[in-house]
Amino acid sequence: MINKAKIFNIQRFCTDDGPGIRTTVFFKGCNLRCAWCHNPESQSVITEWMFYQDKCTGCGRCAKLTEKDTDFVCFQDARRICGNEYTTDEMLHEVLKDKLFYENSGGGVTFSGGECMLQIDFLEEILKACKENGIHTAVDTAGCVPYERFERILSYTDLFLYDVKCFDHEKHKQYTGVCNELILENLRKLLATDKSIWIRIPIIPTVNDTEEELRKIKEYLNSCGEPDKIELLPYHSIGEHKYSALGIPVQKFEVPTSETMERLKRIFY
Amino acid sequence: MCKKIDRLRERIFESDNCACFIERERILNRLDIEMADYNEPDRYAKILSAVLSEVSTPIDQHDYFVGRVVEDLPDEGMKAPSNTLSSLGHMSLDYEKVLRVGLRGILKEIQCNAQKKGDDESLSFARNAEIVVTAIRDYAHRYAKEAEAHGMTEAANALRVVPFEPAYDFYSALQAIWIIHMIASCYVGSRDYAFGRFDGYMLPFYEKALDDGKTKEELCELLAGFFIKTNEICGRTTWNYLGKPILCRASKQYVNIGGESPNVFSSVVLEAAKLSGMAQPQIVVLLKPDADTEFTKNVFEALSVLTDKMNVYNYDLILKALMNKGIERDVAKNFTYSACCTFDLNHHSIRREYFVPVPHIFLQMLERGPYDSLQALICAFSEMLRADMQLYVKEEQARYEDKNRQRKMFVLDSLLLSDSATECRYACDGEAKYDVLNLFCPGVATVGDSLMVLDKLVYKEKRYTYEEFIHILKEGFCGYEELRNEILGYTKFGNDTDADQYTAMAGNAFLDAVDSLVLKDNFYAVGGFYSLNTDNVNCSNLGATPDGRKSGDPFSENQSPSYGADKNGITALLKSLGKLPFERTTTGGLNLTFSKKVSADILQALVVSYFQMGGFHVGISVIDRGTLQDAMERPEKYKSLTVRLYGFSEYFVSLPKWQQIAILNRTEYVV
Repeated sequence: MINKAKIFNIQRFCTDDGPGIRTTVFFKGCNLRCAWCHNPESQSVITEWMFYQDKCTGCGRCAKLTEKDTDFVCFQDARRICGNEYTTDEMLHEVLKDKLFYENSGGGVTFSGGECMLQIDFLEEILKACKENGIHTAVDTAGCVPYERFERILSYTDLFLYDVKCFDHEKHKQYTGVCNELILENLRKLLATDKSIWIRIPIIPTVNDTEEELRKIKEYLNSCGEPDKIELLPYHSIGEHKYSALGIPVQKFEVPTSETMERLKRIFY
Repeated sequence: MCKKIDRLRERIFESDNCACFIERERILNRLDIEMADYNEPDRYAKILSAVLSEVSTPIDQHDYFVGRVVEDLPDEGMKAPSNTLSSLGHMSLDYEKVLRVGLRGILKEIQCNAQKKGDDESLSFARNAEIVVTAIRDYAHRYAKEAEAHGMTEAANALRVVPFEPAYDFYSALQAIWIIHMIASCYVGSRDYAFGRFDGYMLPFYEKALDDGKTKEELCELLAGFFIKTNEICGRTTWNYLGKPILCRASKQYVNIGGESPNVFSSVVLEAAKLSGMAQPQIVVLLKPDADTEFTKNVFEALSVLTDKMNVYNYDLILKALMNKGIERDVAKNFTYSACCTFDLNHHSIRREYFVPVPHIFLQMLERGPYDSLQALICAFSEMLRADMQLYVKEEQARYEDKNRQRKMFVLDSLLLSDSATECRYACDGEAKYDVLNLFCPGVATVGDSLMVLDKLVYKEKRYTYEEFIHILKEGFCGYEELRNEILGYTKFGNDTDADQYTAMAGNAFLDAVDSLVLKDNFYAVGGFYSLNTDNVNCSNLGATPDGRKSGDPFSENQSPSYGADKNGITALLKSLGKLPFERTTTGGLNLTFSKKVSADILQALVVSYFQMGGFHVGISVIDRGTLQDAMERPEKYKSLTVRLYGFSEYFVSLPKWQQIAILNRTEYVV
């Protein structure tokens, strides 16, 4: 197993990225630029430094760091490298750590990001390795890749978590940087397979929090085939501090009210 | 139904945490004077009898079971609570026997055996037993009359019979237990009387009640009504801070279910606990990995709701550990947890405890170096632990060599412990069949992480000589702040890495010392990783430790990593803990804090996986930092908020500030 991937986080004990207890692997690099992204460190595939000013004590140890000093350890965890390379063997070793928890909970591994399907060679290899080890696999994707990539991983993927951000083409382009035709077309093809699919719709006030927008998504799904689950995910601001840690500006949104979420959920009942 | 339970619940929160059991205190204060020169062997029995004959029998129409204790502020100048009748507590009383043969049957057995033995002490024991049993019978009969006068017929009928005679149905069984539990806790005065293997001895009564036409729902409600009463007697203060002036303040009352064969009633206990929804009793589930699927599912559904009010123990692991200590299976299999994280052999044993000053001994050992290798250091550590514990054992065993001090005491407990009726003795005197020394190891993670640092910096990387590093410790890292920061950044125990092996080494060193103790035949020494509050209380005189901990700072709590050291999530934490030698322990506990409610399925998967890896115990809290901070500022809004502390639940607003802050500092697992 020779492929490598750039990963920015491996999070154990995830319960929202598929069934049971899961390990979620976050791939670095994404071909969308969603304005509400709560993991901005996922967007660039390049290894980069993050600096948390509030944790810095000014000790000066990092004053002369260069890009090559990727094994530097800040004692206050104020400056940290984001983006490490893993071989498939190394990744499998990580993923296998919680195998007992997966078995007892019906859980497994979710590959997410960023956009994990951009590193398709590695993804295919690690998915296959997971299946050989009896681990349930899920792929969390925005779907903006050639469909051939889905075909490569279909037989090793138990569940797709498929993000549908916006139905309106113009808004999709405005807020994510890409058009949604390919995304919607891939979704149609995927729903025609026998794969388990969960649709995830982030609810972003002023962007897609209208009944009209969600009805269009619902009608599209009805025309394609029924997914196994539809989840509406309210926007949250948990990742805002990461933008300043990366030195990039953040676009802020309101958190949708619980009444809004209830109203929008009823569209899918 | 809910209104009745709600009203009982409200009444508990209306009670005064400054009030004592005023009638008890007045009577005992008076008798202390009147009987100051009375030193006959029946002194205790006569005093208890006087108390039970004089106290009133208050009735609350909302009660499901009668039995209440009058409370009021202490009289001026009154010393409350009086210790005249106090007992050890922290034990399970033999309710199975009470329900089967009644106090009359127990008394008859004692009298018969005393006659056979014929010695003065046995005969004296029998006379005391008769006085106390008669007093309890008469008290119950007085209460029956009062209950009848208030139209509480079922209670009146029950108390005309129990606890003197055997129980005859589900209601009378619970009424019998309640009266004795209340007398033992409140009038005798002690904390932590447990209800033993409740689902075992109550099952026949439950089944008969169903056969007689009662519904499961009715019986569950009755049981909830019984459970609610356990909160009436203990107040809402803590045991060691601003305590209510009663001997059973903050009493943790444990109900054990499960074990070898959980039954249909085991799940009813869980339902009743959910219905009563109070801090007491603490439900203890002794879980076998291959337990019945339905029961296991019910356990975790209850845990998801009851959270900090439940404990789950790995039954098979503990049974094996007890048998490895030489306790025969027939006795070992009925172990129960009757005190915080501490077991007893279900009314067969006397319990002692010693918090071994492990981190302190560790530093003392370090000062005696240098040591050529980490292994040599660990050997020296284990030997010093052994010497300390052996001294404690010697002192405990020596206390009972003074024959004149032996067996002077007769207390209520002595009627209700196994072997007491046979031996006609109170078994607290060193001659119990199983005299169990619980040897607790606080700070195991602090010691483990310290071993890791020493190994890295002194033995492997040789960045410092042994002497240099000890000097740095003695200086409290002053002038070595960068080194201390570096050490604080090391990956420590709790992250499922190689660092965990050092805490396992520390644990094994402690348990090796426990296993090497020289003991009398009836003494059993069992070890466990448990700190209670010593991590915060005993740290002030503990110098800096190699893991970067500053002098005077708290050390690690219970079995947990040092505060904030676990950074890889809960599965990593559990895997780290699974590497500790729990198969050699019988005490201790792990507390996990979640930021929001965890589904039963996930809890089940976590705990079952953990037990499969050799885990020992799990207790959980579900609380977020924001709520805790608000509760610190506005305690009046959070009277009923409980959190998990050490091995039990406590009302958060009753805790001292330093303890509230310690809870805030705990790692909170985000779900």
